[in-house]
Amino acid sequence: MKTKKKLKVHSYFSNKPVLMTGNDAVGEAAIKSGCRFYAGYPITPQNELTAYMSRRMRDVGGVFIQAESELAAINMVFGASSTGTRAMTSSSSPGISLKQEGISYIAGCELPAVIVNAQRGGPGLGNIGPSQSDYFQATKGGGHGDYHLIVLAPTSVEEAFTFTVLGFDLADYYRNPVMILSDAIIGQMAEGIVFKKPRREYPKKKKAWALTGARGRPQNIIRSLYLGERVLEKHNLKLQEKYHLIEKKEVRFRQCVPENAGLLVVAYGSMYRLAKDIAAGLNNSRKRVGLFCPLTLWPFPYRALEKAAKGIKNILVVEMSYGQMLEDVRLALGKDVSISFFGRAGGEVPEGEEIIDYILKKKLL
Amino acid sequence: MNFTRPKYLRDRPTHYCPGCGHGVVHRVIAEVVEELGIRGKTVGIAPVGCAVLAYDYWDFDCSEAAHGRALAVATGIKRSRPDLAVFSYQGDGDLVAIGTAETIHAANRGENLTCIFINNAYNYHKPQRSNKVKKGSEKSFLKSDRQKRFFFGGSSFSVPYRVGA
Ligand SMILES: Cc1ncc(C[n+]2csc(CCOP(=O)(O)OP(=O)(O)O)c2C)c(N)n1
Ligand code: SF4
Repeated sequence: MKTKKKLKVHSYFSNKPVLMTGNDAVGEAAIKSGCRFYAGYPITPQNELTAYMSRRMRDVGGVFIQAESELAAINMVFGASSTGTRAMTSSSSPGISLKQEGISYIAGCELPAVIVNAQRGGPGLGNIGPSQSDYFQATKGGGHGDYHLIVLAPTSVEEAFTFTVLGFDLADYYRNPVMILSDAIIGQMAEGIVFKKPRREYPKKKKAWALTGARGRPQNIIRSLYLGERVLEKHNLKLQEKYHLIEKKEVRFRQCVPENAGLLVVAYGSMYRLAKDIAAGLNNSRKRVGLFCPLTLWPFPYRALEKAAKGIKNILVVEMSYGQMLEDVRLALGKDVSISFFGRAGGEVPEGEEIIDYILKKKLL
Repeated sequence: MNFTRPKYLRDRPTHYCPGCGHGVVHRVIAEVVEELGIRGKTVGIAPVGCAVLAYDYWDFDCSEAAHGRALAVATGIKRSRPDLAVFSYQGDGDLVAIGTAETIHAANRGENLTCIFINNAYNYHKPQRSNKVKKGSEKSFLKSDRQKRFFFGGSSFSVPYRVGA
């Protein structure tokens, strides 16, 4: 005889802070968002998330599969999502490379899905240190075809939680894959967080397109194959329309620009935390340091950055890469603005002091 | 006896070559879905290969899958909705060349799925051989003259209809 198991989904709100790693926070956010399918394959530095999902999915009666590869995992998510189930997979850089074909299919089929990349050092096997070297891959395509992921970059454990909740809503609302782009720092550091409700609510839409068995209705097909003259072009134009809408509605950023700012530091994710320290460290200078942090990497806040940088003499981009977001900053600000860059990669994290030295040596302030 | 089109096979021109076996298998599947009365809980997964458009012939819910990944997609569907009857339809290039890992692991996990295997070499990309063809065994493997001609490159472009996927 079947006994009904009592399922444990903790209530959404709680004022009690909990100590959690970023990876675990993503997992808890997924569970609280109603994600009931997770497939993944082990890779450092995101293993905690896979482990967390294996535990929590059992609590809530969801599905956890440790797949035979990242290829299988992303295609399992494709299948789960096609039934209307909220689904997630996670990995780190080399595994995310392997998922790219599947991600392109998910985008082409307009399926919602959340994909987490806790970035590590590359290229190749690289190492397991933190990195931001997958920015191009995340924001400029990664897989084949004209598509975009919505890319959210948390700067803290708390944001790892809220952005994942937001990610599931955005994915469903736009029928588009969403990437949570974190790194070994955000993923593995522990901070106190409060499970907050996201600020903006997205109306729940009925997933009439889902594969549920065509009882009493016409057949549904999940496909990205369109043959015949102009048929695929039409599908692409429909996608482009959606991407333009997202660019209009979903740009997110954070800025703190004092009136007499002489330098604007642009950084995202874990490097924003460093940028904050740098600004605090230079607080005694005659001129102040402003901060700009894109929270959506796609759509990138081009216009907001242009506005924030207006009248500021120097711009410094800090990344754990050799200048990937830098290209978008250049696009936003044009050729006439002097943009400096400080980047380290290969799993190395820049020190606050070395950046301050760089700022002073180059007389950026 | 009346020979009629099964209820869940669509009335539409075929893209398959004249004499191709895919149409027969499509028909049999449509008949089975009708006989079992399971249209309302059936999900089929079309492969990448000649049968990539299988969903255009069947009248029940279907999905595509990347080349070789049909059983991973099927796993995702079936585990999310265990009440559905889920099957994949795959060629040997799809199932046992590029998709060997997904095939073996779906079987190893004991997924409750049906996998229909169309073992016909890489007909889509003729005259290549798939991993199912043993050295020296091409002749016995390919039964009909049409297939032999096809496989050995005799008349690749005499095939009147082919899709590109
Ligand atoms: C990743 C990827 N590699 C290669 C292809 C090109 N491709 C399309 S169909 C096919 C072979 C299909 O052979 P099979 O599975 O035996 O099906 P058949 O056409 O014989 O029915 C290949 C290699 C592709 N679409 N995707
Ligand atoms: S190439 Fe072979 S499998 Fe493909 S449609 Fe023609 S006869 Fe059928």
